[in-house]
Amino acid sequence: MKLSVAGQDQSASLGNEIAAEAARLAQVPGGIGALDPAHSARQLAAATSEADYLQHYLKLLRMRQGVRTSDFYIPRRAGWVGHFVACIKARLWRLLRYQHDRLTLQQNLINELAAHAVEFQQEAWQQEVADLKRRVAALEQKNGVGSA
Amino acid sequence: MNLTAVHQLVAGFAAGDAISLEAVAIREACRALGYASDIFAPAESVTPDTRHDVRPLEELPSVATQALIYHYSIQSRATDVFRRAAARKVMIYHNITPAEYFRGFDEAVERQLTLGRQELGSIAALADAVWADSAFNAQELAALGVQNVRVLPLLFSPTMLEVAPDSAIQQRLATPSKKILFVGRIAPNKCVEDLIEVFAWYHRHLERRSELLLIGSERSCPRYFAMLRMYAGELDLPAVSFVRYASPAGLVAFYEGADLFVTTSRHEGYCLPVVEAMYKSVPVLARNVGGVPEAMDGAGVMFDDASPMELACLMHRLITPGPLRSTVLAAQQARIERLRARPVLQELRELLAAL
Repeated sequence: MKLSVAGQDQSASLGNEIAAEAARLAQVPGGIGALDPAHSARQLAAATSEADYLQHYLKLLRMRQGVRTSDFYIPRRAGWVGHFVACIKARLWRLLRYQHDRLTLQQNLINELAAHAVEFQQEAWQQEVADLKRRVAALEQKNGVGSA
Repeated sequence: MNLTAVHQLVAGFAAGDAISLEAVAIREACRALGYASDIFAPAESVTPDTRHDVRPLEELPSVATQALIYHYSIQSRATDVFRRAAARKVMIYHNITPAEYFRGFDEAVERQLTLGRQELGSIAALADAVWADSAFNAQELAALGVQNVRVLPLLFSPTMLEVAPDSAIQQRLATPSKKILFVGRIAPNKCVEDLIEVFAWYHRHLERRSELLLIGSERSCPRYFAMLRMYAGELDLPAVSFVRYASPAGLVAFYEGADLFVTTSRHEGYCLPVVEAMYKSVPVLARNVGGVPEAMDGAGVMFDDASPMELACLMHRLITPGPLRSTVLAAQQARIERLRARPVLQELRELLAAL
């Protein structure tokens, strides 16, 4: 990496130290839990038009309609109080799992139905636009406008 | 030419926007020099909270104007008014974001940017004087064949940052977690997704008690904003906060509560927020791109070709109290002192005298 600190080039000194630290970090199992690039939201940046974006967006939306219920990191304050509170939160999370799962099921159903509704709406609009374009083209042909 | 009125034209006006802030700074400087001075903008591109600061474009032809300064950064209907104006004309070039960044995100803006770049040469040819707010922008104009471009570095007026901080936001930020701040338009050229990825490494592996505060409106590019929200969600990062709007008092609170300001933007004509962060004594980490080196002016930390893991480690070092942080803060303080000593009125008087 090229690095400039307060106007001084420190690529060789600090830059190399940072690169060594980063190499160790890269070995950490799990990384940042990034998705496969083909399924990542970052793919939206490659869209070639707004229509292409929408199509891809809806696909990604369908992939994300489910609420995550896997275990997660519970933030904790420093010291024994923080440790104690974090333990209680972890236990509560496990105790309430049954209730969470039930709510999640309902929420996932709503998300799925809403995603379907958006897709159905989009299909209906696309059909309507295509139909209108056909009719305009037919009218223009009839009146001798447009296609010349 | 004996000037008595120097007015300005902008394509849009919003609180906190760099071009709007510069227009206000120039207006105040012109008034201090004894000229009548107002800012004109298309009414539909002025945010409701700033309407008192700007006059509608339609009023310009009825106002006596000896010199008209046009802040150019995108195609807009202000361009036609500039073309027709019977005054000495000055174009200030603020850079035009390459249209490709908006492909797929916003076709209307993509078209406006393309047109803006196509018209750039002809508008510069129309002007009696061409100024650029950074040497980087002046070089772009020179590459188009525009001659005698004068550089008037973006004016920085700290007035907006001297208001009392918003106490509710101060309270919200009064936690032991490390706060990483980004302020700016949430637009594709800013590459905020890179920053989110870097933050994910930092948050997961270097400092769990940390949060990323992204201050910028979703209105700049809603599809891009949606992508960022989705990306932060897929990385399971509740510690990323999208703050869509901050009042001046709110912005001050965010700057004062931040441990580090970071921008991974890939296209900048200048980048005013890095100067604002320096003013508020927040260490700055920015990609070495476009006009950023001029905004940094030998302060802060700039990087090139860095991986997300490298940037996360660098962020960690900059946030942790130590010699690196102290060196950076001292250089930034010196940068702000240089800015304070800048003879803005004299610079502007000389430029206007040359018309």
